[in-house]
Amino acid sequence: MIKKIVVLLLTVLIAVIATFFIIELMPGNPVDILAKDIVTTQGISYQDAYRKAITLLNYDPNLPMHEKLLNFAKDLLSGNMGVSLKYKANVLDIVLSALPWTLLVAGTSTLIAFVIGVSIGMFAAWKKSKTLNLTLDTTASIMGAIPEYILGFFLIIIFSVTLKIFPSRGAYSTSVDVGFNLPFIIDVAKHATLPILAFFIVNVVNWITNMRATAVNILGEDYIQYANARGLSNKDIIFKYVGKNALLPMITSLASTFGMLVGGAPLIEDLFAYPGIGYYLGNATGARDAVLMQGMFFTIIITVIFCNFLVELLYGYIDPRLRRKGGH
Amino acid sequence: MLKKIKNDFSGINDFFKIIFMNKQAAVGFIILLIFILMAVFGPIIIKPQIADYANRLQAPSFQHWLGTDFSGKDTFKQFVLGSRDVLSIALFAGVFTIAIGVIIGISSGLIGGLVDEILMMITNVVQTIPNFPVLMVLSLIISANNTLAFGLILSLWSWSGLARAIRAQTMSLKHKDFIEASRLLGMGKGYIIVNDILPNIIPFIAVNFIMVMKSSIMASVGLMVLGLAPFSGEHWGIMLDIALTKTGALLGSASTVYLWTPIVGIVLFQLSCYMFSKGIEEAFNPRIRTSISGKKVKTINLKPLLKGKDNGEINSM
Amino acid sequence: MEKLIQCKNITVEFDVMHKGTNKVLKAVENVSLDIYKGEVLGIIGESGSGKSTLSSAILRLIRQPGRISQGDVVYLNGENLLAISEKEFNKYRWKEIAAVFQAAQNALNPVITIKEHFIETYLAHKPNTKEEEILNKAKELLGFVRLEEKVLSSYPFELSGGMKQRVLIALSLLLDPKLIILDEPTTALDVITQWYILEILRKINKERGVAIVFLTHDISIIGSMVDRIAVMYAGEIVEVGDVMKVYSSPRHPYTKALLGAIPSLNDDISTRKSIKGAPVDMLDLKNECRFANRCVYKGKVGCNGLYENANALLNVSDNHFSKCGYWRDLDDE
Repeated sequence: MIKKIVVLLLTVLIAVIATFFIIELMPGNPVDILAKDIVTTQGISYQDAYRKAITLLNYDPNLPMHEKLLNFAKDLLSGNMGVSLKYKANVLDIVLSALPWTLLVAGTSTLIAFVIGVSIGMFAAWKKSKTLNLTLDTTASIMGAIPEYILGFFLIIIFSVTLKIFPSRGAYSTSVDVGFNLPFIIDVAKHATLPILAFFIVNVVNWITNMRATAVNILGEDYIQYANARGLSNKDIIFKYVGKNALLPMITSLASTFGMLVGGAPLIEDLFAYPGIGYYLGNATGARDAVLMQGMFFTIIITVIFCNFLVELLYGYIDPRLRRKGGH
Repeated sequence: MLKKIKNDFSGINDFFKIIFMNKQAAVGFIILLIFILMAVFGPIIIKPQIADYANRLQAPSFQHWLGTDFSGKDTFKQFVLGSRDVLSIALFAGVFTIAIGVIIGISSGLIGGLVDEILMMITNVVQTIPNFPVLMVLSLIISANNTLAFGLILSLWSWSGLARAIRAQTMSLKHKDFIEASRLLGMGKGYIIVNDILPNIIPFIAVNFIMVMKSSIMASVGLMVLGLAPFSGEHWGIMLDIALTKTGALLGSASTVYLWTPIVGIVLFQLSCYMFSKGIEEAFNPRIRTSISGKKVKTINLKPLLKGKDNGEINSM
Repeated sequence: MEKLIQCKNITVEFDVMHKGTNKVLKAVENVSLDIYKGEVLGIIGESGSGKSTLSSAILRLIRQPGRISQGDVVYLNGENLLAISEKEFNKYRWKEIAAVFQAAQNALNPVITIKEHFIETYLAHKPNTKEEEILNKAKELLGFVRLEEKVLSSYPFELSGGMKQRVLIALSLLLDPKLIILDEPTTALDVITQWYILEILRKINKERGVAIVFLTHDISIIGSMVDRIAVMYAGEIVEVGDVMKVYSSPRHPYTKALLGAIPSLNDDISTRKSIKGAPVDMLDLKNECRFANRCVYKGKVGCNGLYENANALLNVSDNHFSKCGYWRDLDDE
């Protein structure tokens, strides 16, 4: 357990250092650029603008490396992520407004893909139908070859442009009042549908294949035969015997799938103009807004790290082998 | 000497026989081969194009097999020209990923102890932190405008899975008898690595190489669609980016062929990689091999495949 | 004695792919065997002899690509167990016929407790029973096999091989069956645990009158356990009868050879003889006796290895049968 926390902290540390180096390694001097910009917009002297730029960016190029790093780490971990060059707003505010959207899309699609994928996979393993397996295999090959954003693109053409059922941009319409009211919730759901669908389609196939393979393996085990010999019902065998044994290892995959979705968020969110973390990271990178880039990059990494950590803890509790032995 | 060459050849022969026994793998292999030929010979046969705005966005015709793009250039020729960049990037990404993964995996597995702990911690971090955002940031910091550098960047974050697998395999092999035997005979670490360990991890390497090629395409196209990769216009990813942004393809216009071409190309390439990798997996799986041919299949002796590479100095045995 | 089970002409086939063609393997061919109420019957056979397949057939556990292509299994009450529906047969499972599997290492569900195994097995057949009642019975049975109560709250990975095997035996008694089939129950265990388990099985048979069918390849342990013995080879029963009769006067070359191969603490090992040759290819059976290629009597007592002299169980004496047509002439070689 302690080892896990140490690894967690170390990874966070590396994330902080990596994020720091974004500005450090960027070609060009961001302080200089910002200072010049401030001079033109605020009409103050270059010296004053330069000092202002340093505060805004959390970054003083004249200090020695370790001081810069320390300052940066201190600020970052206390929530000060600086001010975005492009949007002229607090990066932390942007992060907080964007994170829920990314979590909504990535989280929902992971869960739905997991539940449906595992069920179909279990079904396929149980039925042992050659046609079904062949269909699933072919679909898997094709789906594996299509990137999510291309699939998203097709979804837009079909559902937004042609059928005009779902909107293709944004997280919600401007015509709706924000808040916990029904019209808003429905509107949000509508806007989230296509992005979620794009992620879902590409991922559900993986779960189906995984679960099918695992379930087929388990069905060949001795304890299934023994359960049959004892006259246990099919329901018992599917849920308690195959289900429980198959799902345990899959839960760890859940974390890595979520990580992949968050990683793929920049492309999908860019395609759908969906204001999540990935969208802002993409914009920031394009506009060379280093501060915003740092904030978004760091947020993505932290989200994934914590998600992985939680899943690891969860797994350690669920698997009786680990629970009893106190961790292998 | 002749005998040795014959030996080497039969190893490769067996290998291809099995690939072709599996239809899926055979198809995959053939498609890949077509792409490779296209990439190698295409740019030699076809000259770089000149813009001809008068003829832009035309439908497919006898003169222009897939129509023309937004600047009047022949779509098909663009596609063929682009294939070289596409495949070079994939190749370099694959090679670098394999190199990093193998070095880390074997070192970790063989040396063990603190080195192993540290390397595995690094691998863990690389595995946890998602690939694409890192690439986005890297593309900004390092401006890679040639295929080798770009391939290198792509490989920086893709080796973790391979390293783990190789480490696991190395560790399980470490304790096997034949390695003990080599050690007793006084063979140096180098010999052990090349002759005992490498042949056993070739299946992982082969499969992983193809899969890295596949994912590198996805990643590079993704970066191009976001406008983050400084590449010139024939790479399929750039074709796609241009199609999406400049010609309003999203709204459905006459330029759809121009849009479809890179998409189909990308999807076909990925598909062929996937199918071929399945074939490789089977080719190295002894259980499947025996059941297919019925007779006792001679275990593919990978040493000839490998020994051909090192210049024979350790051949004395 | 009453006949608990009468197996009549059982054949179990498997579809296999060999050298690119589809073939049919008869793992068990035309086997007839009776199991008497309350007896201990040992079935001896090497790997591949068909004994496990035969027991799987009785338990109706044969799955694709296998099938029971012919035969009846007539129960005490006259019902043909192979002819009734799966649902009907479930009434016999565990309540009449229970099993203890080979390789107990993997027979228990790794993610549920032993307690759960008992409860689910009981509830599968008597759905409205109170958990407390089931647990009481479980504790009693665990005591019978000399296991502590706390085993109930353990997971399978926390138990040793011997303990798991005893759990399986306790589980088999849960619904008071009339027959327990044990497939190599002691193979993976050390000699002392093995002896221990055999003790328990003897107790079960004597005190509870449960019939026991004991499958093994180890002819040395079976002698002290069983009332009758059946010897299987290449999918057929080649000899069956009272254990004393078979041991003192084996009437089939295979049985003779088996008995001649067992080392004992008293012997000089040089007098032991192994059986030469390899088992017949089950996919390429010719019209000859299946033991012919290894039989020391072939060509000597007038036997030409023809199948017609080896395809029916002949009556040697009261309750002693052999498939060897030349059983009269088998004297020590």
